[in-house]
Amino acid sequence: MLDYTLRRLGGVLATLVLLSMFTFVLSRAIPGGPWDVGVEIPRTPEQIAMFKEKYGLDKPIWQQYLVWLRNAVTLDFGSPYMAPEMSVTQLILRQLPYSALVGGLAAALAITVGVILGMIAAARQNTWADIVINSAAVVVGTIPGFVLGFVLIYFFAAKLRWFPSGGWSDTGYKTLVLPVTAFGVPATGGVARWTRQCMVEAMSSDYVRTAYAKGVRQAGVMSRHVLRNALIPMITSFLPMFPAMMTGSVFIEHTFGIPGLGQWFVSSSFSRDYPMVLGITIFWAVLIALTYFVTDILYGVIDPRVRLTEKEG
Amino acid sequence: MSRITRRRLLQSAGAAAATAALAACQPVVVEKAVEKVVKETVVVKEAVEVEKEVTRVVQAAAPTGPTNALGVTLPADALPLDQQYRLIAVGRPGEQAGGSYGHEMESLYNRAYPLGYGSEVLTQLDIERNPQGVACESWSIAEDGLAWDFKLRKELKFADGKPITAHDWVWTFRRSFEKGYDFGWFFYDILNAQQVLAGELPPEELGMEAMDDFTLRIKTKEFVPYIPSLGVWAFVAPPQAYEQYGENWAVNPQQYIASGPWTLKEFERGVKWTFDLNPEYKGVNRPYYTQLRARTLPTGLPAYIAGDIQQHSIGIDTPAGEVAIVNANPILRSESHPQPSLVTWYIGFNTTGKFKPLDDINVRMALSRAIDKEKIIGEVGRGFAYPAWGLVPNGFPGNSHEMLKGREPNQFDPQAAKELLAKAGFPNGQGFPKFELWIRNPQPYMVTLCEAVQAAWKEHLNIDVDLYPTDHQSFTARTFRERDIPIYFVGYSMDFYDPATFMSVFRSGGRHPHDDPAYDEAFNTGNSTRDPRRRLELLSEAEAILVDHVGYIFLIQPFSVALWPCNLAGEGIRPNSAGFQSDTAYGGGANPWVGAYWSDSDCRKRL
Repeated sequence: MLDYTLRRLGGVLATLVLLSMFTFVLSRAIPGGPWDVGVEIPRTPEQIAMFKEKYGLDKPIWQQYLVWLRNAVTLDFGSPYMAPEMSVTQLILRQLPYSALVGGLAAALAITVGVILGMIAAARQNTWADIVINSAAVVVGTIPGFVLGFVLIYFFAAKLRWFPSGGWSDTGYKTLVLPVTAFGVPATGGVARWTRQCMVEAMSSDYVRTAYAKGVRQAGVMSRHVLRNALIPMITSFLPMFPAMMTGSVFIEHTFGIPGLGQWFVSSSFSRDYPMVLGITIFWAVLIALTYFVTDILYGVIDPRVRLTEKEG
Repeated sequence: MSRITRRRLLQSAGAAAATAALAACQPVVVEKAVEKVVKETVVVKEAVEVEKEVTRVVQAAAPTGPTNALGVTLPADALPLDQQYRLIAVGRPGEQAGGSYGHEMESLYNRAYPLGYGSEVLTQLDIERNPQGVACESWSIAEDGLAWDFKLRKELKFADGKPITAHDWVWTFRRSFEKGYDFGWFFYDILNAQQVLAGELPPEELGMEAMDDFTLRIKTKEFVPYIPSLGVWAFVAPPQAYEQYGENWAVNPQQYIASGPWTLKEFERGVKWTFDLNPEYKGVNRPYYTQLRARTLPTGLPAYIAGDIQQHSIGIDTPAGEVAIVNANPILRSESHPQPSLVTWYIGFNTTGKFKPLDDINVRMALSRAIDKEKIIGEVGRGFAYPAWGLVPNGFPGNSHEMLKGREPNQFDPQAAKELLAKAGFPNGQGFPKFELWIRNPQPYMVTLCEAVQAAWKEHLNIDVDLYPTDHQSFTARTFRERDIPIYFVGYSMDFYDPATFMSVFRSGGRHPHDDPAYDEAFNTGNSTRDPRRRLELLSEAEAILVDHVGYIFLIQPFSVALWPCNLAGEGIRPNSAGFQSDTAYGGGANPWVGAYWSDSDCRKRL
């Protein structure tokens, strides 16, 4: 297990170095630079030279990369051009909680409701309940979150005035209701359908038939045999939802005025904010790598065959 | 010269909304649509009534309300002081007002707030858009017309008690130009500004000096009549803040040293910031409001109706349904205020010789005459835009809209266009290269408009172009700096109220890959003419040269309709002589939010 873990961590580190190199070169290959942000009249060569000197962009690119890599080892990713009073790490850590709260709640909503509905649909296969759940899952799964967001705002904020239409204000949990719903409900559809599919596949297995033949009741079959075996593909799909949703949706954040990380993901690329682009890319990559790492470990916990395969390998 | 009136704008918007709504809902015959349009123009009558009502309220209000921290007494109908705040959207990262620096003279395009809250501005525009002194109480011009003396107000102080002197102004400008100020080009009329910005001359050579503690002299190379108007973008900075805290002092409330009516109370990057009244302020911009509260806010009409945002606008890209909702609701209609067009969008050609035959005027003339502007803008603009016959927007001071409409490039004539193209060596478009047309930061209508142009060129000239929507940075780098894009679509909007705000940017060697010495000469001559009437005539002639030489095809001048809650009152939002109102009251570059307050009214109760 230790070997396996070390090998995986080594792979992650190599991936991160390659990714940073690739991002470093690519971000500088795009036309324009941070000195072009917002300007109507292009800056003069002298102004650009001054800007480059200030931010160390006047050095050869390989030298810039090595400097960046040396600092990155100590988690120093530099200062964003868009927020010079703080570091990239500080900025990410400060904005992340907004996105994480909305995205985490939305992912929890999607997984909780989706898994329950999927299980009901699987248990009541080909009945009206299955048809209703499946149809509803398809419909909500195809509605973009920001479209649902506008509908929710229109009815629940503008018409009924039950909830604020957005922003990050002092209205407490009420501020969260609409964005979490708009973000979480479309994902619920996908979760419900995938859960149903995994459960139905597991239910058609020989061991389920055997369990029924041994006289195990349906509840026991579903919880001990079906759900446990269906969990493996479900975990593979659902766990990565968390980092994806917790790092923010630019559409949801824009629609509801949430000061999260999503808008920084997009704007740092457009603004050619090189330190921020690299910082966010590495942060995102680490998060994804960790998620899959945890997923792999959980695999082993849920399915002993995974560990056996590793040993044999 | 035709002027835009409030009535005409509302008619256009009303007609557009009605037409769009009808088109969206049901197929109707043209006659019926016209009936509906006429019916919808009721909007105009009601809006005019509201306008009168606002005037009446202002006149009736007695100054017996609460008094704020600046000692300003609000009118009797004002809401309590704790409700007198202005809600502002925090600029998103990457937007101009979501940027890095707190002080405007550090960076204009990468600044953290809208302008002029905590920094005193040299001048601002009154509601008639004439410059008036803010940091200065008066100005005078030397007999030779090459020096302006601004008499500064002696009572002004920074929030730490240090008097604001002419030396501070000189220090601010020298420092900005020495540091490569991104808006430095705007002040190129100041003597040596271009050379100092380029590092060719030391900052001490900048044509700005302190004659004494309270007299600031600005020198120019030639007579420039609009120097006081440039003052709307000139802000004083506290040298002591830079000395103590460095360049980021203005995003830290503990380090912030205000000179204007507001002072920074809190700042959380990308999340919120708040300005409170600066009790040390002794200047003339004395708001009724007690706080400017910027938060991340929702957007859109539902958020406006819900009262979660205090401003919304509808325009050329607003969905037809939303325009219909506004028109159908009497309260929203009364809260609608048409705004003048302050921007011109145009197609530009790279005539440097890199992309032959775009350097041939016959080709450019053919391309221009193949576009039926009235028809295309009528359809794409949906009542929220004028066809552009020239550079200076319709309704803007000194515009020559009617005269320019008759110039040859503005005459749609497909046959003449074909003949011109054949004369250039491309009969029926044969052998004409396929060029890219780059579109900067495209909004939906821009793409539609360029598609219409693309279709017109194909239909009338058998010429193909590829549309290439792109982001601001890529566009700026490739089109303006590297100059390797053949055709582009971009806009330019005003910075001050004079035709020169547009026209100076189109001089050779400026932003565009098109040089026109005849235009340069005509513009420079006109611009430095001291007789105002004659100056405008000459500038109009220069604009005609610009149009005739077809380095650009001026296409569209959009405008919007601003909405703000009907309980917003105050002398600052009264209509000006052209019938326009602005909830930002006075301004120009700076917007200190003077002259407006929230009244205790139930006018939104039924919204």
